[in-house]
Amino acid sequence: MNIVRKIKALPLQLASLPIRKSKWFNSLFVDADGETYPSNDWYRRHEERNFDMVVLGSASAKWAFDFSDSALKCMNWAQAPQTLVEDYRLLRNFHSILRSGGYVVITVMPFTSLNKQTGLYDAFKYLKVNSQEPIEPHLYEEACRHFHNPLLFGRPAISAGIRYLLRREWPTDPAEVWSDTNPMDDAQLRRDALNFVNDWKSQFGIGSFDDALTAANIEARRFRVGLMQTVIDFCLERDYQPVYLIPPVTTYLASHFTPRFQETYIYSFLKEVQRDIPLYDYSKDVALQDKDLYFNSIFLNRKGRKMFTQRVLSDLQLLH
Amino acid sequence: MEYTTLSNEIRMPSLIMSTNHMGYEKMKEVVTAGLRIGYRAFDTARDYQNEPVVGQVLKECLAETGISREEIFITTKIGNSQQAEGNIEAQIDLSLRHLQTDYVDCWMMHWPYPDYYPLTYRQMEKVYRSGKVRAIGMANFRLRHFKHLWESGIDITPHCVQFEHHPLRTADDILAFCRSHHIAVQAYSPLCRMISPVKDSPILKSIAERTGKSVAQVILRWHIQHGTIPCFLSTNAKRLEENFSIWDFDLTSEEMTQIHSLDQDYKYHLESASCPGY
Repeated sequence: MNIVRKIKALPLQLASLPIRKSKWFNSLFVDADGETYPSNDWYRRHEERNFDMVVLGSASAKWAFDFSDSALKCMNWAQAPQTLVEDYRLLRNFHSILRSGGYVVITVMPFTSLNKQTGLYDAFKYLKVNSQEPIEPHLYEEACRHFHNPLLFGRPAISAGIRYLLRREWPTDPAEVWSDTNPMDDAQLRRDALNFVNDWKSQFGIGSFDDALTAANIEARRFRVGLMQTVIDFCLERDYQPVYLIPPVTTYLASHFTPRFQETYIYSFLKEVQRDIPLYDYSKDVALQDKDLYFNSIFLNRKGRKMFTQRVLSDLQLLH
Repeated sequence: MEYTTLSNEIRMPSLIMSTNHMGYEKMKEVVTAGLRIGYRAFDTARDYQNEPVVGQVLKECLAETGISREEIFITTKIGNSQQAEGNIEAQIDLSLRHLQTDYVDCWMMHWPYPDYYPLTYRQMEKVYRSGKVRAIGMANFRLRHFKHLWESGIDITPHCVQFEHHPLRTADDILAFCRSHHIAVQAYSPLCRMISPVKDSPILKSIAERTGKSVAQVILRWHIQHGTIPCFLSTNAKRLEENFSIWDFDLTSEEMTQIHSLDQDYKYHLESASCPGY
């Protein structure tokens, strides 16, 4: 029976082989090399333990840190995108890498308090993470089906397979994220910032940034408040030091974040969480808003990441 | 072989051989060698996926050596998935069938599996009363787990616990708790896998030189002298023999303190990678 099933599956396996080998397919996963998270395999290959800090968060956190020059032991677990739900699951699976008193940096962006529904690609990306409990159960089964049969992705998958066969694959990492300058000029940065704002408004059903929270977002926040409390309590119970961190953005984007907006979407959320932990707020730090530290209007480039990392480590008094 | 007496008067050998993830052939070779050398305690777990192999090997080896079942001490553990299933009392029957024995000497829960472990322990107490296990305990508990377990109510104080313990992780708080509750301690990874801070430690090397023993023997002796029972994995008969030759020398109190000073709360095994939410 098993052999019959295997023979039947053979054409599908052969058809999906070029897709599986393509850069596109492999770029969909995080931790494919098993080096991002301290899993059961990782710790058998590495002797380092008692890490000083881990970072949770979404794209802004992913592009905020560069620990490559640091003598400290730190890991950045943020992904683009990643919600607080996955942050918590990563923490549950991998927190033992931290020393007692180690920092858990909880990166907070304006929409951390709202419910972003993770989609198929978001669920898919965690499939290669070696963890005892799935990182993303939402759409997990569908992601597994796509993993076993990548043709289900349709056009992008087929196109990636053909490009692989023709040896005409596109690079998966945009070069600008590794640059030390911002490739955008002023006009482009203004447009880029506006694009982000409009995308967020559409994603979360927001008319104006100065409006009060919608009913749907109030409901979403209730869930996030509870989840944030859980994350913080989890850290404190294990003798870690959770801290909130709000990363900087360029002036182009910061100009859309009015005091009222920040109060509605960030500070009131943190107040509702009712956990007295330190807040490191870099959102208004002029020294960190220089456009040359970013590769667009929101994410830090290599130079920015190095500078910001040093700043945070210093503020946490981890540099001696 | 020296023995440790548990709080319920059960005697436990002071050195334990692990059978972690070993297949039949290797285990037969290792257990045969171990019994010949003098080992009488064997550690397994449902999660090692080899309880039936342990049962078969022990049955054969005991028959071949003429050693009786009563002379050996078997520890096994209940895994997280069995805790989640909840049929703890049925699980011991399965382990007994796997191990081809009427009783297990020490039965532990492998992890303080969040949301389950207090209830698991209550059921383990029932199994203990049934006589199918001679001692009960747990592995990988921290103080907060003990505290939570105590708060949720227990009738029987655990007889034995197992956790990662070696000179780089002296775990003074857990040890003190166990001592104060008369709980015996099995130390897994007792040599911390001989990673470089251990094998290259000037302190350990210097003590090894004075005693004419290996660094591993010095560490095992350190365990014995402060009352913890090393549970180690070796598939090498020569190494088993070396690890057993620790009864003919003593460490001074100063040397014990020096070894203790190597502590850096270093855990080779990252608990949360095996037990999410740990």
